[in-house]
Amino acid sequence: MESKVISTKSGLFKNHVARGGLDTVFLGLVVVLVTIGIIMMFSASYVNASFNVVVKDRNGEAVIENGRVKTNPYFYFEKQAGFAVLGFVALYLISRVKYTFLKKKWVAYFVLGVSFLLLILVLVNPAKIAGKEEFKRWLTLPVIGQFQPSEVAKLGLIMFCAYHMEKNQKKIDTDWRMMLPYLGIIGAMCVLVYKENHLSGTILMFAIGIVMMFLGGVKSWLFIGGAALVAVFVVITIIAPDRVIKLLESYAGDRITAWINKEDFATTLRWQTNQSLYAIGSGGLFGLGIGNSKQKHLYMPEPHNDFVFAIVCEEIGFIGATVILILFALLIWRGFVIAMRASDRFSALLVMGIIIQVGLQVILNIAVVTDTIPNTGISLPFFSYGGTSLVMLLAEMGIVLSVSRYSKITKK
Amino acid sequence: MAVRTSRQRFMSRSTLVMVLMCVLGFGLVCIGSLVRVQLVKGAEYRDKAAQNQLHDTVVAAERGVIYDANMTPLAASTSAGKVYVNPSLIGDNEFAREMIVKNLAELLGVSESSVREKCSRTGYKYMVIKDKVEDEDEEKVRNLMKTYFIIKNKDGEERKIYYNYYIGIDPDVKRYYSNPFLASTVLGFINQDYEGAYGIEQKYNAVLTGLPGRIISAKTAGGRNMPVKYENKHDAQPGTGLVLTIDEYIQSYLEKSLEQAYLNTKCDSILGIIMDTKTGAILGMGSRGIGYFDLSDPWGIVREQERLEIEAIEDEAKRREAREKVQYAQWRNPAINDTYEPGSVFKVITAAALLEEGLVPLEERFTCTGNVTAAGSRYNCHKHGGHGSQNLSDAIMNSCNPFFITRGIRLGIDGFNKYFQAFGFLEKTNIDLPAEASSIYYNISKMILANVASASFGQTFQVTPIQMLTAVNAIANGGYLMQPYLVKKQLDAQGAIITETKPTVRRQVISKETSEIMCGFMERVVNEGTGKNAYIAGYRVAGKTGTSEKVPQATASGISKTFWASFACFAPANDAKVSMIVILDNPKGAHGGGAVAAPVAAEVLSSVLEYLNVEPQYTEKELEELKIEVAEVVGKSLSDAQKELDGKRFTVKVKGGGDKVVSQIPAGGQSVPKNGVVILYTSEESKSDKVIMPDLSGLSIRDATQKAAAAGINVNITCNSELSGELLSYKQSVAQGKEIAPGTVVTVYFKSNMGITDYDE
Repeated sequence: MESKVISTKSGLFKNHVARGGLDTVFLGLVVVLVTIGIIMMFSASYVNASFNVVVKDRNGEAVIENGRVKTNPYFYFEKQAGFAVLGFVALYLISRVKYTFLKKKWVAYFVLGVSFLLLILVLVNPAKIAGKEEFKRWLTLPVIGQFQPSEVAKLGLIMFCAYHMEKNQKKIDTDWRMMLPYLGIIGAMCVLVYKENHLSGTILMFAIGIVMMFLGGVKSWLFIGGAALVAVFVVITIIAPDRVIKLLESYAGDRITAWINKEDFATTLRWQTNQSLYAIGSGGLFGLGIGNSKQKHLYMPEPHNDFVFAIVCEEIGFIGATVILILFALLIWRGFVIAMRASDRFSALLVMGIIIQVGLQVILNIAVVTDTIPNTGISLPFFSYGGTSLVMLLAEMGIVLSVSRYSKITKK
Repeated sequence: MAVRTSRQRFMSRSTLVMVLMCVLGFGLVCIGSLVRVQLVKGAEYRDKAAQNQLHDTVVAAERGVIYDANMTPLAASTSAGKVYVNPSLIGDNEFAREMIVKNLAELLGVSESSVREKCSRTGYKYMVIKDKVEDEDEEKVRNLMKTYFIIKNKDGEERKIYYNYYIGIDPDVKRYYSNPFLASTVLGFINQDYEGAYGIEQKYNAVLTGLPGRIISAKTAGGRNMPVKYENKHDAQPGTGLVLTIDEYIQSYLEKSLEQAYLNTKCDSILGIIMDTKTGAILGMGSRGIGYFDLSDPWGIVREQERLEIEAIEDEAKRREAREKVQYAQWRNPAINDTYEPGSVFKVITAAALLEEGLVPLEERFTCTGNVTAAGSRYNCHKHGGHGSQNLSDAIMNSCNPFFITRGIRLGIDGFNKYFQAFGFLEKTNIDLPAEASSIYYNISKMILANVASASFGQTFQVTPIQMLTAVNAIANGGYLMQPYLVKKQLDAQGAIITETKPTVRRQVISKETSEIMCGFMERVVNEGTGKNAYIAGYRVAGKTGTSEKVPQATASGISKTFWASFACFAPANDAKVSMIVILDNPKGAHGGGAVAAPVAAEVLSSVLEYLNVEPQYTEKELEELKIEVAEVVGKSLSDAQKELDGKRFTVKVKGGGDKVVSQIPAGGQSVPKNGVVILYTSEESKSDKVIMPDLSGLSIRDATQKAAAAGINVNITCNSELSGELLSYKQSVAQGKEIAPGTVVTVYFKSNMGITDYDE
């Protein structure tokens, strides 16, 4: 598998070129999921884009064609496909890089520092996106353009934890206080993301952090304590939602209100969720066929985003949706296998963190579209529209693949 | 690179298992959720989605055309537009809303406030701004929809928005009327629910409506069609066409005369019905005062003055109440929906019954002294001095009350009721119009003979005008009580006949012989008696006048005496073609049926009989009075023309200085009474000369003719020439003071003012 081009690179670079064969099953699953994801996202977004995405000329004025404002139904597809290409390039390059490159103190602290910096910057100077003025999730940077710092921070947290937990494995085993710095970092990140008005990001961040701590060898009593706290919170939410809602910022409170009062707010807070349920229900066992969703005809707001899976369910039915879930399950299982066969604790934690993040997002997203949990706004990996998310995901897959090259099973 | 040889794990097995279990557990929760939403509750959500997406558009079927007897369309539907907006797309965009409100209000002629109110209902996707929009206005809206306006969003960014984003047009139908003021209560109208209200439109609503079509299609949240094959179309079935027995011309003659009489007599209301004597088909039916509206604006107040009076009412509730009261009165058809006391007209029914039962020999005489005591009560005759010695024929001619009181009770209670029932007064006529009223009569089981005495001359009970006409019609046609009807044929969309109405004889009430005798008696009423104002030269009219006093009403100015004046007739008397009834409610001034109802009937009948090509049969005396035909002399030299005309006793007047006739008034072939004026023009310029129409009212025929000749115009005299000495003119077809061409033929109406009363002066 070794590439001649890379082997001719300078010595410093050569040291970091991965050598083993990568896990083709994992790569294959990623390619299949991204392909299906883009096709389904295209189908879901077509109508919305043909209605809402206005083509503008050089002066920024809407182009008029046949007495109508010209729109671009391929807008989301084109952009997402572009990001996918970019993502696969990143995946390829990263998978060629020896993961040990990441296993450095400065890298760990650098990514942590950058993560915090970006999370603070986004609060100070968020990019304003029409229709989403209430959120401060996006940051505009030169060259890179608009992206979500929380996507970067998730990886930053995983990388930092993986490095730090390997280095301090013994201390963690003996001294429970070693957990405090992690809790501090996770807590700080969660607060920053929450301030972005990004409830889903907060929940993910928290969950990833907890899982990392758990994998890193947290004392089980602490974990049980934490789990108990979460359980208490959930129970309180269900028993006395009003109190919890008061505590939360209004955007988060509204969502819980909407989740509890299922018969109300049909045209406001619950509109999106209801339309999602109608879409999924319409799909039935076999679905209406790709491209035949009716709910995407402006009933479902932003069908290309967090609720893309509802349109997927409508078009390819329960069977198709289950196949996709199985593909995700296989990806996670394969990630576990790679982690278990990893050559060191750092790479095992890294892969576990990444794969758990994907798993959590899939689970939470499906729970949201089926109204099992409040609508927090979690995107579906490889399916939901979003450049940062897709590129970061594929980059992370690249890391997993890089680790897979050193999997013990391949070293007979 | 340090390669481990042993299978050492970097995480405890239990940790991994726990994480794996968690992932698996949550994964199963996801699958479970999908099963719940997609499979278990799938049908429920599918239904809700369909409710959201499916748009059911009703396409109104084209309503059937209503034709008159000559296949002239009276009411027809044409396609129109229904302009709607989608307020949900407007949302809180105040600028867009105002642009839409301003433009639509102006183009469609609706108030801005109503458009704004509809555009503000942002929870709706379909609000009709105006229906029945005509092509012209629809085109204007379509043009508007091609244009756009520019709005700025929060960032100051400009956006063009086309009106067609918010506005749409659906097909609709609109009802058109060839003459919106003709036969309004007969036709009825279409209410806001697209259902027929009143008249034929209501009675035949089901067949006229047809079957509306439906388009069930999937719509996007924006209200547009989805590009998926999801459309279910049911074509509309057009409604059935109706051919009425109403004849547009006859109806026009009737309504024109009713309108004139309504204005002249200042009555509360007037109605007239014309029936085909043989079949019972209604040829004309109309009214004024009650039952008259503008078909093209059924909710409007038809009389300008009345409208202004209502608008002047300040209190809104009172104004609405007043308006509603007038609206209901305008829609009411008094010929069918109301009852009246027939009075003396009913005497012909009593007479027919007496003849049929052989209870009054034709030669039997009775001396009227002005009052009579019968069945224990004392009754006065309308003629206080008494009519003297009379037989049955004389009594009908004079409308003598004591005669009918004394002879009527010979029928007895059962006998009288037998004929009252047989002539159809105890049942509805079943005419094909809605809400026919029933008569108001005694409780038969509790009747006493005194009741018969009163009823025999038409008092103490009420019947509907259509009942009375149908009964008189039975006397005219040989004794057959017909079922009156208005719809002659029903036609399918292609014009093929679906059903054709056959005249229905309800029963024979009296024998042909009795009928013939009665016709003769009633002709005498017109020729010599109370109905002489209904006389038409050349036509044998038979009729009976009626004047009945209403129950006195206490008003601010004391107790007011009000009357129904009526006249029922048919012609020609020996072979009746048409029957007619005219009823005036509370005419001011003269209030006798002979004075105010008979002239109306005569005016209408003369036109109708002529229109129906009923051959006139003139008496010798009539012929003498007849007009002479003017010869065609245009193109002849002046001297030739004068020679030709002189011999025929015309007054010839020459206008212009030429020696050749370039035109003449009246034209060749037209008739002018003897000593009439013929104007000969010898140059084109002279034709512009005008004369002033003089006032010819209140004159005898001779005086009127002379005055007209002096003014250089011709008169066409309409009256009963048998009694010319008593006749005075009361109406002229051209208003006094109007400029008209010399030689114009002006119709002057004469009536008698003596010997026509059948009521107590």
